[in-house]
Amino acid sequence: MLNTSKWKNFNLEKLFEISAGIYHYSDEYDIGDTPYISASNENNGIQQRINLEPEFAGNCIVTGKVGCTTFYQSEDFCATSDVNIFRPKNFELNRKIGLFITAIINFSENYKWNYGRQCRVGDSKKINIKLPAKMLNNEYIIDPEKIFSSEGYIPDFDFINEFMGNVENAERESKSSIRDSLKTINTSGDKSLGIIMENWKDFYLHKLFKTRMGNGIDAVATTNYNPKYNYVSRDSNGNGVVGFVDEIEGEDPFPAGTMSLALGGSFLGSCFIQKEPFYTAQNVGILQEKEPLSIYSKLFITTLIRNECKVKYQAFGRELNSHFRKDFTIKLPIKMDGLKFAYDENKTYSDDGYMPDWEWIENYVKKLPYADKLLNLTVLKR
Amino acid sequence: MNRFDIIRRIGSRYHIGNTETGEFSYVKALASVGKDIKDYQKGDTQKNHQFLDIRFENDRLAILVECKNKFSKWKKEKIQKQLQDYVRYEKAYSDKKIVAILAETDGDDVWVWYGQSVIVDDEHKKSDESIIKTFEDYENLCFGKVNDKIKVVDSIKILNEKLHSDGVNEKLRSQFVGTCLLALKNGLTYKNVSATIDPNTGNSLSPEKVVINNIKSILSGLLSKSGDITDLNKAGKLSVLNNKVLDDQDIATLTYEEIKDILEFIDSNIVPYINDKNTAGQDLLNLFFTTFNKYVGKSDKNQAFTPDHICDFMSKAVGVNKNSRVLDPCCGSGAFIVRAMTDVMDDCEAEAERDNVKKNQIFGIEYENGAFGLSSTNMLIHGDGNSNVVQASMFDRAEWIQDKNINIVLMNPPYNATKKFCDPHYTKTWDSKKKEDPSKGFHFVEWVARHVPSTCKIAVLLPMQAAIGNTGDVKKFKKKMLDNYTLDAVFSLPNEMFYPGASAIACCMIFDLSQKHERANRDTFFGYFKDDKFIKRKGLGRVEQTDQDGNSLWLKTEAEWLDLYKNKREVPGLSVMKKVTWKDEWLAEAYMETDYTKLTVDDFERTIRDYYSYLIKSGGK
Repeated sequence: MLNTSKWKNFNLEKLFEISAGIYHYSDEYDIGDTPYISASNENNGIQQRINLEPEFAGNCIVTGKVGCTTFYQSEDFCATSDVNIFRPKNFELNRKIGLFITAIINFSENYKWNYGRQCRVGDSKKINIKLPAKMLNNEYIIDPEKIFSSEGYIPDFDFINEFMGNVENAERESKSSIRDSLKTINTSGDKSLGIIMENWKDFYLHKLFKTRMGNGIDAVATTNYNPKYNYVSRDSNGNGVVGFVDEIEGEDPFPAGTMSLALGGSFLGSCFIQKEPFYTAQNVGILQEKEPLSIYSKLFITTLIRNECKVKYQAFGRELNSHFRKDFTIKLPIKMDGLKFAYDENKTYSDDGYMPDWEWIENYVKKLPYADKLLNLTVLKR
Repeated sequence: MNRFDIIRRIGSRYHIGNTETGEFSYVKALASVGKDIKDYQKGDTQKNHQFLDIRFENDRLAILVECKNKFSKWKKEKIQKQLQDYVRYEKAYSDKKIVAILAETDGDDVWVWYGQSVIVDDEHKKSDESIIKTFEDYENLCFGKVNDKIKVVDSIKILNEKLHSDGVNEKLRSQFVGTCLLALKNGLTYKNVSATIDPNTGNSLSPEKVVINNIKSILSGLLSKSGDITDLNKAGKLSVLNNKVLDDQDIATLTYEEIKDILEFIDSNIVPYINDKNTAGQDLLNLFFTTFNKYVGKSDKNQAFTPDHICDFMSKAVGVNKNSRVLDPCCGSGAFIVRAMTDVMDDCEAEAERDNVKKNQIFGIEYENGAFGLSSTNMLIHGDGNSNVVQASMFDRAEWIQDKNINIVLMNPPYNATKKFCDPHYTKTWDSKKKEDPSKGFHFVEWVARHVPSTCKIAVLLPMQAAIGNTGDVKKFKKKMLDNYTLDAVFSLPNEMFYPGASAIACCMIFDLSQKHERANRDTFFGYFKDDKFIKRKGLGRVEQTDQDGNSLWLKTEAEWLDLYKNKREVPGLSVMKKVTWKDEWLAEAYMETDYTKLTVDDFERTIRDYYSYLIKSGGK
C-alpha cells in the first residue's frame, strides 16, 4: 500500500523551468525520425515522426495543454505549441523520477483540464503536486534556501528512485518483471533476413483459414454487470479489444487463438490474434486456422493482411466485407522440394497444390526483436 | 384488505412508521426538517389530521395509504380532503413523487391518485387503478422505465429515416412531427379517409388534403381555446405552426399513403409513451424533441439544445415551485420552460392553481422562427393552451419582461451569437472586425439580470471560457455581474453534454440578484459534476444508463448533486466552497483538492508500462 499522508506540496515552477513548444506547419516537414510531440494522449504524446532537427533535448517531462496529459521523454524532439516542456531546475532528472512525476501529474491534474479549459504555460506554473519529502529521524529536513518549496521541503528523490525500481523490477503474475519486457536477445541489426520474393505465391485467405463473419453485436446491446468476454471492434489499438462485456444469450464467443479482422472503417485491415475468448462488433471478420498454426505464423500473416489492405482496399469505399471470403489474397513463401515446389495432393491451402512454408515463416518471425518474448505468450486454447 | 395485507402487498421493506402504532406522524416528520405543520394546515376540515395510517418510501417515491373500513360509511369529500392534507404535508416534508391511496379494510375498494400535482378528487382519480399494487409497480407508473425512453429514441430514429425517404426536408421534420403529435393527441382521424368536396369552394379534396385540413383545424381550435390570447399572437403562431410547415411543398406533395403511414407510426410508437397526466410522460416528450432535434441541429452546429436531464437538474437546483414565475428569454425548443412547468405542476394541488400556472407563471421568448414553432408546439402538447411564448428578440422585450415579475430565470443563451442576435447597445461597442459575441453569451445574462426584480435567481448555462474569463469582454462582464449580484454556485458539467450538437463545454452558473457579491461576502459553491452516468451511443446521442434492475443511474447522481449543492457539502473530487472575485476562475477544477489517498502503486505501474510499450513500439530508441 502507498501511504501519501506525509507527502508535501511542491509547486511545479519551483521544480522546473517550464516553456512551450514551437509549432511547425505541415508543409515544413516530411516523415522522418524526430518525434513531433503534440497534445495527443497516446503513444507517449508523439503525433508523428518528422524530418526536422530536434529542437529540444530529451530527458524531460512534457504535458499537452488540452488535458494536461503528461509523458516522460527520453529522446530529443520537436513539440507543437500545444505542449509545455518541463526541465528540472535544481536536480538531476532520470527515467525513474521522470515517470514518477508523470504519474503524479496525470493522477492529480488530468481530470481538471479539457478542451474548454486548457493548461497553458502560465497554468502549469501554478500546479502543485504532492511528493514524498526528505526526512531524518521522523523530522522533515528543511532547506534554508527553500530551493524546492517555499516551506523548505526537499523531494525525496532517493525514495522515488527506489520505489520506481521496485515497481519496475518486481516479479509479477506474468512471471517476469516489467523491466524484463524491454530485454530481447534478438537484435534488429540485420533487417533483410533474406526475404526472396521469387518463390512466393498467391494464397486465398479463405483457403488459408476458415473465414466467417463475427457476431455483429451492436455496442448498444452489450452490458457489463458481470463481464465475461472481450468485445472486439474495428480498432487498431489495444489488440482491437474495446470492451469487456456480459455473456449474451444465443451468441457464441470465439475461442482464444482466433484472429479478428476489421473489415471496414478507418482501421480497415487491422488484424489481431485474440488472447481471450471474445465477441465481435459489426463488420469484424473471423479467421480460424484449419490445422494448428503457431503464433509466429499468425503474426506473419496479420502483417501481410495489413500490408495488402494499404493499397487495394479503401475505408468507406472498397471495404473487405465482400472480399475477404472470396478474392482476398496474400503472397506467402511456398514449401519447396529441392528445386520444385512441394505438391499437396489434398490442396488444403491452394488449388494449385502449393503449401505455405510454415517452417520458414516461423523461423523468420522468431529472429525479429522481441519475438523471443512470445515464448511466454503461447496462446491458451479453452 | 386489512392493514397487514396492504403492507405486505406494497412491500414491508418500504414501510415507514414513526409512532407506536406504526402510524406516520407528520408533526414529527415536518419538525425533523425544521417545519411546523401548522403552516400547512388549512383549517377547512373540522379536524386537523396528523397521523397517516401507512406510509412507504424509497429515495424517490412516497406512497401514502389511508384506510377506511367501508367507503360507503364516509362522506367522500371528507376522506378525500383528509388524504389531500397528507399529500400537502408530504410535499412540504420531502421532494419525492407521491402516490396517494384510500383503501377499504372491510371491503376491497381502492382509490388511487398519482402523477402531476396529485389533486385528490373524483376528477383526478385514476379510474383504472382498482387494486393495491407493489411498490415497484407504482414506481414504474410514476417514473416510467428508462428502457421506454430508449424505445422512443429508437422510434424517432426510424421515423427520421421514414421522413427522409419521403423527401421531407430536415428542417421541417421536427416541427412536422410535433404538429402531427399534437393533432393525434387531440383526436385526429386519419384512417379510411376518402376524397370529399370542399364545403367552402366546391372543389374536390384528395384524402391527403383532407387529413392536412383536419390537422389545421385542430391546431386552430387549440389556439382559440385560450381566452386572452391576442389575435395577432394567434395569427403569428398559426402561421409558424401551420402554414410554414403544413403548406410547405415537401409536406403538400406527400401522398395519402405516406401521410397515413407516418401518422400511424407516430400513433402507435410514440403517442403511447407520451401521457401528460404523469411526469414520466413529460420526460419522454422532452426526450422526443431533443432527440429529434439532433438531426436538425446538424445543419447548425452552434445550436446547443439543452438535454432534458440537465434542465431538470437546474430547475430543481433553483427550487422551482408553485410560487415560481419562470422566464427563459432564449427558450429554443422550450426544454427549460416545459421542465419548469412540470416542476411547478408537481407542486400544485388544485385545478385552479394549475390553470393559473399555465396562464401566468411560465414565459418564454425565442427569436428564431423554427425554434419558436417548436417551443410553441412543445408547450401546447403539454396542455398549455395560452402559450406564453413570444417571438421576439429579448432585447426588444424589456417592458414585457418587467411586467411579468419574474423570480426565476433559466437560460442557455447562444455562445457565439452574431451581431443581429445581440444587444444592439452592446454591439455598438464592437470594433468593425468583430463578428461574434466576444462575451461568450455573458451579455445576455447581464441584460436579463438588469430587467428582472432583485428577488430573482438566475441559473444559466455558459461555456467554460465565460467562467475562466481571460479575454477582455468576458472579464468585463464577470466584473459587472459581481458588482451587482452574488455568484451563488457554478457547476462544471459533462464535456460532451450537447453531443451530437455543439461541441462547446458548458458550465452552469447560479446568480442571486439580491445584492452585490462582495457585500454578500459568502463562499461560492463549486461542483465538479462531470459524470452524469450517460453514455454516447452512435446515432442516438447520449443515453441514460441503468443498473442491473433497470433503475436509472442518473436519478441517483442527480439526487447526490442536489444534496451537495443545497447543503453546501464539500466532497473531494465533487465539490468545494471558495470565496472568489471577478478576477478569479469560476470553476471547481481550479480549487478542488485531489484526493491523494486514492493514489495507488498501480498508477505508477501503468505509467511505466505505457512508457515501455512506447519504447518497444518505437524500436527501443
